[in-house]
Amino acid sequence: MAIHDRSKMERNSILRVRLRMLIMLACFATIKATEADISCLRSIKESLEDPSHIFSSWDFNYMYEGFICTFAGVECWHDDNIVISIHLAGKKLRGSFPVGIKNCTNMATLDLSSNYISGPIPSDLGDGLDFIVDLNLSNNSLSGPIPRSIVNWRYINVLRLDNNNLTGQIPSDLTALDRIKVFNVTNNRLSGPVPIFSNGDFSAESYGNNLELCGGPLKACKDDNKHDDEGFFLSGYANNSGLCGGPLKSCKNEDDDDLFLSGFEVGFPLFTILNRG
Amino acid sequence: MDRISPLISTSTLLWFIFVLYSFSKVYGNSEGDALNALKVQLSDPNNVLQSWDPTLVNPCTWYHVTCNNENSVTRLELGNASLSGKLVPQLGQLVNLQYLELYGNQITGKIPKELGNLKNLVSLDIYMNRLEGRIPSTLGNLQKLRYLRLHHNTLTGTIPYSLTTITSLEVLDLSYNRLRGHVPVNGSFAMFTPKSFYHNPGLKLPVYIPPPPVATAPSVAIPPFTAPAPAPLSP
Repeated sequence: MAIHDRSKMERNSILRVRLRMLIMLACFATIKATEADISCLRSIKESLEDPSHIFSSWDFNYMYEGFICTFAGVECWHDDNIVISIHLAGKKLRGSFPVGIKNCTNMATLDLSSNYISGPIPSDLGDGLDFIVDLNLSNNSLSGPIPRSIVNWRYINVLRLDNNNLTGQIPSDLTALDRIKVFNVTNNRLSGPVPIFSNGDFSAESYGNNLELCGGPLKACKDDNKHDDEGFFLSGYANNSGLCGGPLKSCKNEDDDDLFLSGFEVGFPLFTILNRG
Repeated sequence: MDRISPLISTSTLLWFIFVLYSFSKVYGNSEGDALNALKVQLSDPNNVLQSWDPTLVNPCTWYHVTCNNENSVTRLELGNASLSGKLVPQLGQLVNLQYLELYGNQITGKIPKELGNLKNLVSLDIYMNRLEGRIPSTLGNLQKLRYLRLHHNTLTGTIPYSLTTITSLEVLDLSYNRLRGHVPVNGSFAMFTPKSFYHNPGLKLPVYIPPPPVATAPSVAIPPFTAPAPAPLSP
């Protein structure tokens, strides 16, 4: 009987220890999310010059539950230090894109439009922000390419990158974004084919005033692309003096074929004439 | 005769005054009555509702109640107040209510379907309570709603499709409940991610099937490479 009680007690204490560990883990998990959001906002404040003093309310010296939710331009899911949106449009912010923004992993809306943010969009921005739904970076001085990683934003509804200095091609894998409703890249320096979106093409208004965008609602992509493909295959055949045809120089046989054909053109009527008798 | 008529006119006048007074008291205080009905159904160990005096002409001086210029209730803020008990249908009578903040309590029972009458409601926060039952489909009538946070309760049933018609909705959190069925993805729900629905064991999140990658078609038709027939082995 005593042994039974003892093992029961042991089991209870093990359970209690496990429960405590679970609670600690849960607390740790929530704290971790909070710390990531805090570092995200710190990165924004430290990366950008703030002549209009919007960041004066962003005080990191006194931390308490929900303190970042009181920051100007910041909204939380509820009062829990988990950022759901950042609205900093038209605040004269200047500097490079804050790399820590991707730590706001629960953010749904980010509006940094109409500022003076320059330099590239971080190439790994798409590896965070899994729940981003509305992203507006329009009217800045962003340069460099549109990162391919943004294909991971599977819930994005609105993506505005217009009025910047973005270059290169629009990543073709954006075709996978099935919730996207607004896509605007006008007034950049983009080139190449536009993505084929699964829910239908955007109108030409999404793409105006770029370097050389083509395809979709725009004019078809030119033969220059054909030459690119030929160039690819050419390199596969290089250094073989006997090869001809396809993308290479035409074979002499083709001349012979022409000769054969012209011979037929002469010979057949001759044959029918000669056989009329 | 002369003695009786002043008596009659006086008593008639008094009666009229009494009726008018009662009438105005009732009319002016219907929102106070509604809130008082809530107070009766709630258990309030911290006495946060102590200032709620139903004999006053309107509830606008009560703590945690905010009114507009016409003495009509616009905000009810009772978050984290250790309240238990149940919500009441009379809350649906607060026609100018914009913010209903009842989060972080131990409120039990169902969400009254009468909350669907609150046409001006902007924020409905009853998260972190012990609510049960279904989410009323009448909440789809709240066409100005921006924040709907019902997470951390024990709500059951399916998510009403009527909620997808609320185009003003910005923040939705139904996580940590016992909801089941499919999560809508149409209407306003296109912008809600799994984060709004986590920890509902019976709830089926929309399956994301990435469309097959679209190969950019080459402009030159490449002839398929056919392997030459293997040379026969020499006998």
